Amino acid sequence: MSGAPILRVTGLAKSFTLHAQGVRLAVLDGLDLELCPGECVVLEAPSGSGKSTLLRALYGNYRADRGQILLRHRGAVVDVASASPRLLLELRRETIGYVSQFLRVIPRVPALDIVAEPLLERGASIAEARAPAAALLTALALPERLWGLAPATFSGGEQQRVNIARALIAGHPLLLLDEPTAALDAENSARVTALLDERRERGTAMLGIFHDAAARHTLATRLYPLRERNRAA
Amino acid sequence: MKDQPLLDVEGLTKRFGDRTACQGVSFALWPGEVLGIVGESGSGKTTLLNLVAGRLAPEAGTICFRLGAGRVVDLARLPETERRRLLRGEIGFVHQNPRDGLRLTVSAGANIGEPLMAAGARHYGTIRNAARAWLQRVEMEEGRIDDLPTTFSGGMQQRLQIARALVSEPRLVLMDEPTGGLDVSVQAKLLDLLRRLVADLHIAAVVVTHDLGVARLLAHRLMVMQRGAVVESGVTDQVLDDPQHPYTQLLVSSVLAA
Repeated sequence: MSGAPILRVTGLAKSFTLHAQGVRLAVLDGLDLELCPGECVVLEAPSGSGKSTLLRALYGNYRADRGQILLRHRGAVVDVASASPRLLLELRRETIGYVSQFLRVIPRVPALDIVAEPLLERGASIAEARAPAAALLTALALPERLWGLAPATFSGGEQQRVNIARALIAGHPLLLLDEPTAALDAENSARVTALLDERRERGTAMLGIFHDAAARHTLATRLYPLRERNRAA
Repeated sequence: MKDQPLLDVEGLTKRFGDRTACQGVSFALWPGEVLGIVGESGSGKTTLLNLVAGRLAPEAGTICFRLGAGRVVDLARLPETERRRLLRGEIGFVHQNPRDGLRLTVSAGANIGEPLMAAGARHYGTIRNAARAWLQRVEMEEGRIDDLPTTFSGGMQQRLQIARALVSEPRLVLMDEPTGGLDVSVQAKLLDLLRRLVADLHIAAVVVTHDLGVARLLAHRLMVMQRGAVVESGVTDQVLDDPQHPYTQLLVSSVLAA
């Protein structure tokens, strides 16, 4: 059954109502999308056309106005769009990973522990969680002298790699990637891309935004143009 | 998700004279979860916390709490003595001002040991070892065990209060602005500590705060209160990043970015 989609989005609509300004901004409308294990689908559309909004809606960070976001989770199909907060938190622990453009964490926590945290949330001990965290930071070439430091003082590229390690550690079967290589130089971008491609080969499904042509070329198994009709008028 | 909530609050209402401090509030809480309650001063956050803690009696509503043995009791309807007996050690409270939660005239070690003695511990060595272990757990020097709380800094006093609140291993902890009066540098370490303790001990926590930054980093779920009523609730980042209610939008857009 590896051919069955892990994610099926139907008729998704998202708008923002700004009460103080009396404005309603429609961003997405009637969007359909399917994603299977081992696929990396890259969203294509100009800036400001709703790519990040789509990823955030799929992660449950934004609330969908209409439509279904059907996700295979623990062998059953659940709708992210109507999931209770408690179920949504479970989906994020186990099934959906998300790499944002920014690292938002408790200040003064060391990088190694930030990466280890998703495993702690699943009940691992700190000793159990630190080993795979260290392995990922090594794979991403983050110098070991930084592991014990809080990332606030890191460069953008270093923070981004901490962010990626944190998103990859739990081995989620679905990854949402919002420009994971944007802050990286060519060498580090290639490293991240290779790591992601290895995950995809092993069956992880990915939906991402990549402005970096090299990363897109290596990773994408399919392009998904966000058409005018999906963008709300 | 067959597991039952630890706390199930339904239609909780409290009035002070003709002012409604809490208006039909409902929520459920499971072990390992941190629920944040945000809203401006006077929105009813602390009243709600005090109702759940049994420090105030509600006019209406139920507060169903699952005891360790699995029995469910309605805290809103339990006689005072019965409630005290049942809840001994089951619910911890952390005040904004550590001086409200500590005994200032006895040592740090005694502050941590007291709840254990109240729960029946009698052996001096055991109690002292537990106090020492908890000092370590909240990252305080063991050598300070015989010092009075008044000799500690505000951040240290707050750590001590947290140790005192958690030593009896309650299953529910209620916190009122736990990082409120502290320097930001101390606040960050304390947030990290609280989050780890909640995860390690698998307890449930309700945290009242007016600081949306604290709420984002500490709470899994959020309830937004305005004039005693819950106007919006959901997963924390969803409420803060895609607020639906005009009041939540106002709160979120009023935060100063550092």
